[in-house]
Amino acid sequence: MKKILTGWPGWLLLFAAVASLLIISYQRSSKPLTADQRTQSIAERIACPVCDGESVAESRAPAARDIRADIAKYVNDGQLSDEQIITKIDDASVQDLRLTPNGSGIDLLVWFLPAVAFAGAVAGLTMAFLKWRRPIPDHGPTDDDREVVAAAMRNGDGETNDGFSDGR
Amino acid sequence: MLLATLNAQLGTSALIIGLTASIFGVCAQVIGVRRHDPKTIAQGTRFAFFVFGAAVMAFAVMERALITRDFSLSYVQKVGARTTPALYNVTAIWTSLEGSILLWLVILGGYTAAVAYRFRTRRTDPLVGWAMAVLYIISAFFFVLTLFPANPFKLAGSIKDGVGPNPLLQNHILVLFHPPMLYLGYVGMSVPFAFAIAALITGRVGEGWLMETRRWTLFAWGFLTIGILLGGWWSYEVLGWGGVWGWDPVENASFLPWLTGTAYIHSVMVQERRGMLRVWNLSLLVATFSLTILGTFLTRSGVLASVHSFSESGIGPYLLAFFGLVVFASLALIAWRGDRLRSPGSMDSPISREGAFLANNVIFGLFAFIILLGTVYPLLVEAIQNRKIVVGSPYFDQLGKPIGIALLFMMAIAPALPWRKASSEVLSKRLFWPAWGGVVAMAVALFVGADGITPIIAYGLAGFAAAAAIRQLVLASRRQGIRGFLGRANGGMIVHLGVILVAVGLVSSNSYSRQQTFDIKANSTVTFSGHTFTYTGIEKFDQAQRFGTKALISVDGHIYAPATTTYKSVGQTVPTPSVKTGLTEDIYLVLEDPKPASAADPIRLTVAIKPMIAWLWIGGLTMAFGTVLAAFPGKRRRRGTEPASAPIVERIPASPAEPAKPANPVPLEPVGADV
Repeated sequence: MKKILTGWPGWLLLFAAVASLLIISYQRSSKPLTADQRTQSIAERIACPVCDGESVAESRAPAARDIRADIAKYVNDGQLSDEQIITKIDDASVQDLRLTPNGSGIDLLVWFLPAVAFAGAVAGLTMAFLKWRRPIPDHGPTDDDREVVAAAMRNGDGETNDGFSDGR
Repeated sequence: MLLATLNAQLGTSALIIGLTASIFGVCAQVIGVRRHDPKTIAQGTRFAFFVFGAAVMAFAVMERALITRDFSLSYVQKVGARTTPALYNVTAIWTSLEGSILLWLVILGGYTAAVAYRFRTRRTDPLVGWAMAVLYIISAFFFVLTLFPANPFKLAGSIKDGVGPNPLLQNHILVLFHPPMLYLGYVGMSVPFAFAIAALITGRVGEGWLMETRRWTLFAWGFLTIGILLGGWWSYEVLGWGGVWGWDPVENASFLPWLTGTAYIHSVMVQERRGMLRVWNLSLLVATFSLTILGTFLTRSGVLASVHSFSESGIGPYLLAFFGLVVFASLALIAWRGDRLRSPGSMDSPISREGAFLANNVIFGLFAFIILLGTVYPLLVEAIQNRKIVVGSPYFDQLGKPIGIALLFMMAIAPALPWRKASSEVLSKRLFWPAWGGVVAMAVALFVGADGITPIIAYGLAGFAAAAAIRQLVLASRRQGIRGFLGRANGGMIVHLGVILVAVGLVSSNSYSRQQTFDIKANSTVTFSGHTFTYTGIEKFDQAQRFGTKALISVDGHIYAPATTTYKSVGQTVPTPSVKTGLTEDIYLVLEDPKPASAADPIRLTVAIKPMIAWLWIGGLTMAFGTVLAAFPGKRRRRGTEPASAPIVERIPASPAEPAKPANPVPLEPVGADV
């Protein structure tokens, strides 16, 4: 019974449970954000113009407070999307206030290079595995092998493949 | 000269002694090792204690200057003040650049002396000799920094009082612990780096040097971990925005060596066990050490703006040159020893423990690359287009989330994977119940109200990884009793549990925090997120160095007092949040402007509910505990065995009369071998 449970029926049940829980969480998360939550989420994407690397959401500076108030106003008006609000505030400032670089021009590189690095990492990993892979002899342990292992187990020095010698 | 104070003279003398001892140490070690002269090597080792003593003396003199308010020193003028309380007067030494380099020197001197003492019976071993030489070179560089561009003992025109440390650095006791812990981690990475370079120089690039530095690396990593978490805690308690991590350049600078160091701690096991990844491990150590230098350059030279960067100076070119030298010399040595670095082992299957470690290393490396890119990208854009941009939290969050998820997944499956090759039957058996642990975690999260696909996946993987770690601990303790918690594999599982707690804390606080700002009239009550907040009055305070206003807020019947504090010397006002800490959530109160003039005035109060923040600190403690357990040897010890790369070198005779013994391996100490 235990073998059946931990075999493919058990895994099938597990995947079904995971899928059901993910569907429930998706349904719950499709609720729209409240105005405060939306204001906070936009404020987290805009840099405080007078601070050292803080977002408008984090900073206590008066300039950040003013921008937070502007965001709240735009959100309450309900006319603009998040991206439009960020663009409006960014355009009104002489500085670049976006905490996420644009996906254009030289700023594109900050997105492109991680993608290249990821592709390189996957390719490198695959090549490493292919290079190192070697066929494992098909024959089982010899009597000599069994003797060596038994002696080691008797001496308390034995270890299995994952570091335990409990015979798992 | 007559005007020079005793502190300036003593401090400068100590720095000159330290620099001289470092240079003599390098010369003695190099000459001694090359000439096989044990007497010169013994002399060279002794210089370590001079280096440490000189650094301690310089540090003590600066503390004395701060405590006695010797305003003839420019550094005391910068960070000292007569009104600064005693505790913050002591910690003022590391609140700005020059003093923090002194702290670096003391810790580096301590590590150098500790290495000299630990390897005192093997000081004639060329590996130890070259490692000491590398440590002396690093010490000499930092003594040069303190003597020239960052000299804390420079004299300045006499003044009667200074401004004291930055207000944010005299507002919480964590300033006593966070910088020293962080530096113990940063500087501790010098030891494995020194042995790595020594291994390259001597050509003993096998596994011997790894064994020597295993615990040094582990403790440095542990200190770095604790230092980073204490930094997050300090940020949470002091800055007033209620977060622990903002992807600020200074935070990133500490996180980068942690990432490469963590990758190394995992991949080193592959080399010890299978003799593979030699170049990779050396590169990771070089990267870890050089990232500590690069991070110091980025955050202390003023090239990047940061809320944590409390100083700017002219040390940038020095640090950049040293960084370049470290990288160039290391890469040149690796290229030189390329023929000896070929791995004797090979990988049988990607579905194996070593395959998982390799994949985890690639993920850590990718994460480090992304953080480094995002941190230095504004500099590149400014250099090319003369345009200022900011790369902030949303960028790092967006790219960091999938990486965090991937790391949790690796943490879940790797402990169940055997070395060499895993069969599907073994995997199915070992992963089945841990995977159900993940399902239970997802169900519990949904039951208590969690939503969102990413957090639920993260909780599921956290439950999976926790169950996998617990499974390994249970099996180990069944077999070995209490010793089943010791050793790198089992202690490492406790570290994993700590990481999982930190991950759960971060996911919960980032995903489900709620915040609102209220204008509250006197004796009025507002409710938010199931809690009542009653404004009961104000309390003004006026101390020697600061004054301010506390608002007395009754939170569910208990009084809390968020305040705003103005530091008189600089006129800067900082928030002093008040936090009600609990296991399930923190209630974070910040008193906003305008400050109430009297108890009758309304106040503006920001209330934030931060779920499960406390688990970050509990997770950090668990990680520290696991690191200590991992440092103990496990049950099995490879008595009488030596690593594959046991040094086969000429042993230097103990005295000139004794002939050299070629091809006689230097005996190694027993190695605690765990999984």
